[in-house]
Amino acid sequence: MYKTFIVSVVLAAAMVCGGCSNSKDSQVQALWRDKHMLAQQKDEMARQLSEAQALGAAALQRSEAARPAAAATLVPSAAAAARPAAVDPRRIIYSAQFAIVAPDVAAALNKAKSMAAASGGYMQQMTSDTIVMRIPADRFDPFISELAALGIVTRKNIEAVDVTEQYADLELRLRSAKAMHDKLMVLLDKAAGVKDTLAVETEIARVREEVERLEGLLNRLRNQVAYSTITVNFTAAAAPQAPGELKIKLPFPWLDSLGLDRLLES
Amino acid sequence: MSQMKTLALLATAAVLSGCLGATTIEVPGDFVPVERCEPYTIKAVSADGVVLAQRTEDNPKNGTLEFWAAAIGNQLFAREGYKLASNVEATSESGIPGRLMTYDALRSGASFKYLLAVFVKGGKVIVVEAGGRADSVNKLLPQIRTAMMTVK
Repeated sequence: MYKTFIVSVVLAAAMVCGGCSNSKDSQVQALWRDKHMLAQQKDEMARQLSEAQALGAAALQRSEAARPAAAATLVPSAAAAARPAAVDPRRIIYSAQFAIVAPDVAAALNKAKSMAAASGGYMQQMTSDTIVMRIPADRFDPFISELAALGIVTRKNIEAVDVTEQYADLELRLRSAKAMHDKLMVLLDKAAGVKDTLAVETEIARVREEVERLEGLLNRLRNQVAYSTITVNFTAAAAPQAPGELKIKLPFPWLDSLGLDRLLES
Repeated sequence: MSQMKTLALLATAAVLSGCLGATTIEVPGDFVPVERCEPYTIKAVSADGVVLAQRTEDNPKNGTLEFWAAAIGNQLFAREGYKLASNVEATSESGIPGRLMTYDALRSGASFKYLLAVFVKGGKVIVVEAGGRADSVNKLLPQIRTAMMTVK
């Protein structure tokens, strides 16, 4: 259908040109030249559209955990440019979980919340005995040291996940998708006819959606790297018991002689 | 006569180097060691009644610093009802890892402060305690902390 349309356009153009020429040979030559040129333009447009569609489909199909190698195959030069340089810092997501025995759970929760705010972080979630805080990554170490002041730490779990490759991969995919979007916009200007225009516009919408999705993933990863997640679960300490009522006693008698009273005896 | 002098010198040396002759912390100038100090290896008092003392206990099964810090914390906090004010990592001047805990307590309506540093060195647990009225302890806090870190 498209070919018929092109040939008709070429023939019409040739007929118009034919009226201006006195030579039959030159008319034929001009006709072939124009036809050849239009065919080349059409082939080029079809090739670019096909490339763009393939690129878009590949970008969409690849999951979040797509391998950097695949990305490198897709756009080798861009992959090389996007790969983290040797001087780039590692991108690491830190998280920690604590279990703390505290004399007053409510007070400890409020203290933890205040400490988070003082560190430039914030409370993300809080229940009657647990608080989840987001702390700037550069304050992670001092903050978890300060947590010990809230009571007796009975469990501590610290985790670091290196997402440097994942981050670089997402950046690369985003750059590729944006490049594809720009290319499609150029194609849209060149598109002739409703069918071509619609095809390109559909592809643009799809790529735009992919760009937005990748930007969202990248922003979420940036936030996870910038802010560490610290979860603290508090348990109320047993109320002090009178001597003789204790059910658990460690087999180290010297522990019983610790404390102010013994120390201050003359 | 010379035997008497020797005995006196030995007794003085024993007092100055700790009741049991063990290696002890360096007592700050604001404190004076006392002669009777068991179960401590050294015990010293300030003019306003702040007490600083060190004890060394056996650790035959090589309990870790975490174990002893938790055991002491449980003893003071869960059983005795001391209120933990801080619990931080500490390292002695000679590089022995430890923990320094600070507690607040009430005695006869007055505020008291109690500091306890625990270090684990080989088969020994070294505990340095300091306590007294909160205002008196606060005045001597830098000297106390410095002394606690002179554990060898």
